[in-house]
Amino acid sequence: MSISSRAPEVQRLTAEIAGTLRAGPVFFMDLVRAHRQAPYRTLLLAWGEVREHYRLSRDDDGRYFLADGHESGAAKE
Amino acid sequence: MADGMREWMAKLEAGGELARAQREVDARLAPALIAQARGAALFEKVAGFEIGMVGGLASTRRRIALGMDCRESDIGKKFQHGIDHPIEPVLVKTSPASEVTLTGDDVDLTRLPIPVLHEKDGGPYISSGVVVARDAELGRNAGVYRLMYRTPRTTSIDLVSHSDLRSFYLKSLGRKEPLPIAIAVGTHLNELMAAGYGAPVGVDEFSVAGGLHGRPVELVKCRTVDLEVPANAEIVLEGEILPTGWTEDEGRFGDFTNLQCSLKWNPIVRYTAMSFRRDALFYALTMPWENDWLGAPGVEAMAWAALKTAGVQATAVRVTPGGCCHFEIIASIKKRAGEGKNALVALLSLGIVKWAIVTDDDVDITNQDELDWAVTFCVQADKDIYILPGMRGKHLDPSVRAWELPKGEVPVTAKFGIDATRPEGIDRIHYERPVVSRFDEARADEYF
Repeated sequence: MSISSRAPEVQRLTAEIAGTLRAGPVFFMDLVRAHRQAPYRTLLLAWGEVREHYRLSRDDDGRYFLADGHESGAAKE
Repeated sequence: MADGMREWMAKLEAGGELARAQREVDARLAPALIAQARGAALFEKVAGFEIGMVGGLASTRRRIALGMDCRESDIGKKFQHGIDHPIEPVLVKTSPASEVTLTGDDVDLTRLPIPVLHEKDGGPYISSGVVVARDAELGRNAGVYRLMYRTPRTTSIDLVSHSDLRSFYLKSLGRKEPLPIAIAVGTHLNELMAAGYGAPVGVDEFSVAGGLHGRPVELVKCRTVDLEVPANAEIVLEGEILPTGWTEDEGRFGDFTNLQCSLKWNPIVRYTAMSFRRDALFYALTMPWENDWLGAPGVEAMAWAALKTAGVQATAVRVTPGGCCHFEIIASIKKRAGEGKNALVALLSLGIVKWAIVTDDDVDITNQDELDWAVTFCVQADKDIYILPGMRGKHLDPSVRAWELPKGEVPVTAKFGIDATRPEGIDRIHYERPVVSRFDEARADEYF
């Protein structure tokens, strides 16, 4: 149960989620379904990494997408 | 010590209202299982987490009544008694919730199995947190606010609607300072109801909770913020609302109105500490029914009080799930001439109530057929249905079209009430109900 945001599997999943978000707007549950093979805690950690390191945007329906598709290189918060 | 969530669960189990999962669950399926379970759902083993989960504790009037130790019809009266007889909380030194404690960079919200409750929610939500804050002038406040998971150390917090916490935050924002908060997750329903009912400024919600318990709530000091939380909570989070204002995306979220609310912009909470029991249970408070029923005692208490103030003798009061336990209220009264209308006006004066029905006291208002009978035969639509336009409405109600208003403007709404009491001037013989002959003298089970 010991895992951190730096773990390779978290970083891999972070990149995969970013890829999904670049493909077009999705609801959070779409991400949960798309990455259902990953342990839930790994998904939560990876989502935290996406929040920290990518320029995440929302459309009017509340779907997430990456506005420019690039890493911000800086924490948003 | 006043009861905690575990004592509430024990009462539900004794009443046949708690289902224990027989196998490990994936947190991603928990909301569906809670929605389908025949009672509140307890998951002692959640895959990948050291913490278990429970949900649905407050999904019905029966579960609320079991937790409150009263009849289902008395939840409003019992709640009012708690308000009228507050008991000050006491400070204790230890808490089972401090068995595992993480501070600073070690804080990791992903150790909690925070579920995504609805298909279009913006993320996983902590929905059962009693959020505590303090204002130098107004004192301590406790409320229930939804928290959307963002990162292992941050959530957003919904402060869009007017609340004491929002007022505290506006002050700290004006000083460009963070507002310290503490959050108790997994408390007894009395703490949740007291925190959620909107006590007047200056009233300590934990004193109201004490009044509901009939004994003081035990509070324990936090480690990194100058605040206190219920000592018997399952999980305690400490942190601060950052002075960023309403700048970060939050939602969507399936709200207590049984509507999927729109995307909002809200402040961020950064956590400085988290602690929990070694065998802690994360309370996934599911929407809308748990939130609705937790609010029901407060709304019914307000209705009883309003009718009493209006000089009307009420015999029963109930909110309805269809009205999300807030927006519709039904009352039966011992009527004197004109009091059907008096009662309606009193009920419709309550801020949250949008429509109301009043019947005579011989109508069982928990029986929809009886209610329909009263509306069918006691009501003339041109005389007994009152429409009160221009009253204060709620943004949450799509029919008020709040999005068309200038920012910050409060919507107005037309409320309506149905006086389904027997009209004055009609002889009672016209309302005489037929009674089956010799009903009490025969027993069907002796024949069939």
